[in-house]
Amino acid sequence: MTTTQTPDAQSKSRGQRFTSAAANYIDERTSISGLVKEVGRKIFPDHWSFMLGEVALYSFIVILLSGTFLTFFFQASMVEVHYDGSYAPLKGIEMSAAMASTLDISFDIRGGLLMRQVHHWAALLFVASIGLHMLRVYFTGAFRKPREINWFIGFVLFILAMAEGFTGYSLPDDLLSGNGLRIIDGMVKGIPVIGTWISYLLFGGEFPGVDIVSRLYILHIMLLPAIIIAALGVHMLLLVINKHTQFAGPGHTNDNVVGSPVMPGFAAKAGGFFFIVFGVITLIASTFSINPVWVYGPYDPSLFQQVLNLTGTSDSPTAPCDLFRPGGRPNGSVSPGRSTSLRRW
Amino acid sequence: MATSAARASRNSRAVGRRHPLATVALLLVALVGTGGAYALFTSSATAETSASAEALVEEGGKLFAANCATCHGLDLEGTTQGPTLIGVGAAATDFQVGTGRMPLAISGPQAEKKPVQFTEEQILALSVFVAAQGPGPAIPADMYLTGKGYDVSNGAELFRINCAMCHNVAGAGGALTEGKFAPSLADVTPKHAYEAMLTGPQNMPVFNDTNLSPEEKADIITYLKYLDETPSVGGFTLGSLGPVSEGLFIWIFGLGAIVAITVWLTAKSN
Amino acid sequence: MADDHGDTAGSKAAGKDVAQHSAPAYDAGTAVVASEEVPNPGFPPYRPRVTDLDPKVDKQQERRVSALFFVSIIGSVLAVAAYIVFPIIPGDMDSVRNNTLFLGLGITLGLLGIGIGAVHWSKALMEGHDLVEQRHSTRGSEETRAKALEVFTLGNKESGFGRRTMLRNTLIGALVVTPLPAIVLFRDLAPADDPVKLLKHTFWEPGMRLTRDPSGTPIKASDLTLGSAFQVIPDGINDSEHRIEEKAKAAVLLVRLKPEELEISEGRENWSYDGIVAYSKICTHVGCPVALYEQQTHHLLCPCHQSQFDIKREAAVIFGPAKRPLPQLPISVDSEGYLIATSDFMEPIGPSFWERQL
Ligand code: HEM
Ligand code: FES
Repeated sequence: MTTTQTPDAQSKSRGQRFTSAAANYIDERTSISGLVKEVGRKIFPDHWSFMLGEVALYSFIVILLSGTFLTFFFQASMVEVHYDGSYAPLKGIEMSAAMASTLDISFDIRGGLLMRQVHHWAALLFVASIGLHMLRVYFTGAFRKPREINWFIGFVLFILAMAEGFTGYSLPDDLLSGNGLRIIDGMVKGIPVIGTWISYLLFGGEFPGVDIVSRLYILHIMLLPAIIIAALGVHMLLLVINKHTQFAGPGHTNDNVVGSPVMPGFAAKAGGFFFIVFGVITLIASTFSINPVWVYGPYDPSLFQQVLNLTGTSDSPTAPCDLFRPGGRPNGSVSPGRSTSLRRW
Repeated sequence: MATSAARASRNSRAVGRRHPLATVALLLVALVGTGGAYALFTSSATAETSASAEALVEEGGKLFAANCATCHGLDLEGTTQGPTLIGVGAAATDFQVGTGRMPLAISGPQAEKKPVQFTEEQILALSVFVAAQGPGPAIPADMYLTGKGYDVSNGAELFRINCAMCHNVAGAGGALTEGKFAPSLADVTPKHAYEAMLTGPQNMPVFNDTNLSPEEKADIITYLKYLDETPSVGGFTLGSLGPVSEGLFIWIFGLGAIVAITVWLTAKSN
Repeated sequence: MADDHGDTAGSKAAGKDVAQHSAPAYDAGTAVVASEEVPNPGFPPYRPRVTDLDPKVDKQQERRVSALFFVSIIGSVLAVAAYIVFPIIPGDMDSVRNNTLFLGLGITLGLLGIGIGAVHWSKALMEGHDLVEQRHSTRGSEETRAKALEVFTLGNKESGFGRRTMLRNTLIGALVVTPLPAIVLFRDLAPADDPVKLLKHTFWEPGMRLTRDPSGTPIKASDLTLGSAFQVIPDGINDSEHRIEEKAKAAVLLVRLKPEELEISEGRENWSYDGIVAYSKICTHVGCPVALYEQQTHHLLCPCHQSQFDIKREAAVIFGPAKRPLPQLPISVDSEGYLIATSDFMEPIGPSFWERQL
């Protein structure tokens, strides 16, 4: 990174001359050379578990990219329409514009279903990787002084990620969306003193109302991402200030960090890793179905499906729950108060 | 009564589609079920068909005595081992035996689908025999079982309202209480699906014709057929179990793959 | 720089600035930190990679990396091709599948090619030595802290923040009060009605017919056989202005048992008709629709958190987190034999809320 004009400019190749001229241009206007000098050769320890936070960061970027694509087609409105797209089993059915546009993204826009699946799988990977990252930090004690604040910010990010996931899950206004919201509504109503009113204001009247999707949409695509990005910024800044923790090892002490420098080795690895994470998400998204809202159908407050499927998946005589039950009971001889299959686990 | 009803079915024999006797039995059962209508046809009956129908009932009776009577009683009155079968009708018999649920192998939370123990003729004979002992829902007419020409979106809606809470929206099945479950509906034959709705086997509620008309049942069957025949547009379905299996997948395989990659990434190259 | 880091624990020589490639200086074996029980053995010697030793392998790896980048180019081009070659034919689900799959695989190839290539480049060809950077305490140096303190002291002195207490306290007071209008502003998120009143009654009225969901056709008592389960909505709800909101409260499950199977409590004798009973479908836990009815056990299961209600015993809770039975809708038949409600629910349906009297 040359930051001053070298006297022997002529002796350099055209490419080198261009690079140094560009670097000079930028530095004279930003004094970026100081930053490059400071962090350009910062050391990052090499351990696989230190990459988990990066997985979270990269899946967030994938979410931003795919989410932006979705916003171009999604209609965050609960106006009732009669579906008239190309999925036969829903033709003519009344649903919200949000649901109808989700179906259009899935069936009538090339790459639309792929982007929905990329967005949703990336969202799951985002939350899962944050979870594993937090476990790593916890079990290595990396949350201790001076890193408590960063642990707290990370925790906030985790909550925000789940909030993003929940608001997003509610947007298509399908059966799962609506029942998820209904559970939230029930929980909100349970808040002492003000619960009834919070629910009433949140939904713009009685549940489910016609406002909740557009309200959650603004949270989902603007407010929450903005807060996440800001919190991520502070998270990274504190990481640089406090430096990485490292595992014990020959030559490792409390006073040093051992690893490879940002430029170039780590940057190449981390940059490459972004493409790998993106690639893995895309691979999953193109081969595995996720949230097929068309089978769930539009939200109807009197419908839901059994979400537990511990026994019913197959016609196998030994369903998983049977393994935990010493002796089968004959049909119909069920005494009240006995547990469901869930408790058998 | 069975005899006279059988006589009535002479004309339909030629158009029987599955088994030569299927239509005979169908009409027989239908007439037993509705009762009385035989009078219209008695005059045109022939000795030939009545003989074969009688033989069918007789064969059914023998099969019943040998295979079912231990639990349901010789006179179908039921025992401590099994419920009475008087009035359950041919549809229930055809469903239970035709899907291998009966005869029961072991008593458990519920009778499960297993390899069918009887031939088609034997099942028919059993159904006709049971129906002859007391009127009950008949085996459905073929016209409702084609899965074609009916309203698939109405079927899908009715399915979500009446069936999906137990069988899962994609018909993948789901857990009930005490080890019971609503089975997967993939590849269930239209006839058995219809009979299940009509008779409410075991803990499944009954959807008689006043709840879901035959046309509505046919709509539902059309939707089930659509599910069977349409590829999953998104890719592998992970059992169509919804968010539970999706989450499990990302934790185990998604994150597993990523962690494997991070290990490779940070390992020293040689 | 080619030297490995044989430096020992606690070596200070690497200095703050690791931007230089210079290997840290070391005094072999002298700097054992006394507090450590097991002496830190120091860095293992650098194990050269094949690419460091054999220029042929180095070239080979270089070719491999650029091959990966080339694969990426092909993948991206294939993705564009797939977008065109596998269009979506309206209504043809196979075409949606192919479009999703091949477009996705193309993009995957494009991304993984770059990713794996870059990582491989870094691992096999870039300088492979571990470097060392010294940590510094995050705490600012004494000198800096003193400077910062000085700034604050000056600020306080020049503004009089600590001295002019009235000024300071009224400012704090004003700041605390400013958000108040924002709270009021949110009132109109919902209409003027009182939510508590709305929660306490539903669409059901005396004499209103029970109808099938979704068709809205009325149901005769004789339509129900033993073991039947009807999903029910009130007559006329499909034409009501707030169809979904009303349905969210009024949905009912109608079943028929043998009259002698029902354990009827005092005051509810007229709530059922010949073994036919109607219960709210809205779970008293957090409000999911409860509709998994087992016709032999007469148990009703909620799919959300597995609460179980016993229809024989007036929907008493027999398992799960729900605390109250499902509310029963009192029913009868009208002169034409159709089932009707004889009143609204006698208690609020669904989950608990603060203003609900028990
Ligand atoms: C951490 C951040 C985020 C998470 C965890 C997340 C999660 C989700 C989830 C789970 C869905 C449901 C998708 C489905 O199956 O249809 C969704 C929908 C959606 N998201 Fe996000 N999202 C995030 C950020 C964003 C951002 C930043 C944008 C826009 C720039 C966005 C735009 C959308 C849109 C438009 C939809 C609805 C489209 C549809 O349902 O097809 N999301 N999100
Ligand atoms: S909502 Fe029914 S158990 Fe939770």
